[in-house]
Amino acid sequence: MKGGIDAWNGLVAEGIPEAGMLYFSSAHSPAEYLALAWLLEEGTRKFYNEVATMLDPSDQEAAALFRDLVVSEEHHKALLLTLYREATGRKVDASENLAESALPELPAENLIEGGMSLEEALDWVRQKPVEYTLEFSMTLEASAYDRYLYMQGELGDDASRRILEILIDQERKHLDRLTGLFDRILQP
Amino acid sequence: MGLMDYFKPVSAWSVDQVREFLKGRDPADYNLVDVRQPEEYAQVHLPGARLIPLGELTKRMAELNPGKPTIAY
Repeated sequence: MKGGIDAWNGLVAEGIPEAGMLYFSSAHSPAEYLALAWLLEEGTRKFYNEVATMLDPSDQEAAALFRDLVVSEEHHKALLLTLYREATGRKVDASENLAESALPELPAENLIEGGMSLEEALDWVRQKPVEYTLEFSMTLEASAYDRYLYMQGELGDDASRRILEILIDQERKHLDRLTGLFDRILQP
Repeated sequence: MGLMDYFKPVSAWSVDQVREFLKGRDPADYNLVDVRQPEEYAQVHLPGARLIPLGELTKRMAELNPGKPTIAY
């Protein structure tokens, strides 16, 4: 339901933004799936990095969590790059932007999990209490988790499945950490 | 071709569409799921909604009847 409970109660026109662009079109190749997933991981890494710096100084626990997530998104990009190299045989350097390298015809855009633009997401969380940022980030991690489950069905070989299992497990753990902190903040 | 052409949009119902759907229907005919956290659910939730926090959703999918429409918020 668009806008969630806040919209239902008429508190706001829309609640937290929806992670509404979840799936890659099924018409594309494994290499494209991997490059697009890399692009979303990179956009989300930038988002968490910015969020960690813009939080109120009293939100140190949340800032530390977002910094951990930045490191984790880097790790995810490296795993996707490994899969991309194996799928294509191409030698792509770790310092390269995989999305631009693999999909050169596309305009450079910063998108985060769920398909929202990085700038739009940052505008939304700016000046909001930390619980809004945590809740929004939970939807991002759920979107990534969902995507990797979907990709498991699309990239059927054993090596890909093993790496995707790692990514799925890590996205679930991120979701657990975000919900854990969110719950603690909500406690009266 | 633009970047967004690579994604399939997932549409969500508006509040008005959900209200219209729920109106006059027996709660036994649909799954209404609150995917927020327990503290939020305790504060307020839609009548008849079942609490399944987002992080538990994949483990608890069996609690939902796949033969019925599911509304999540």
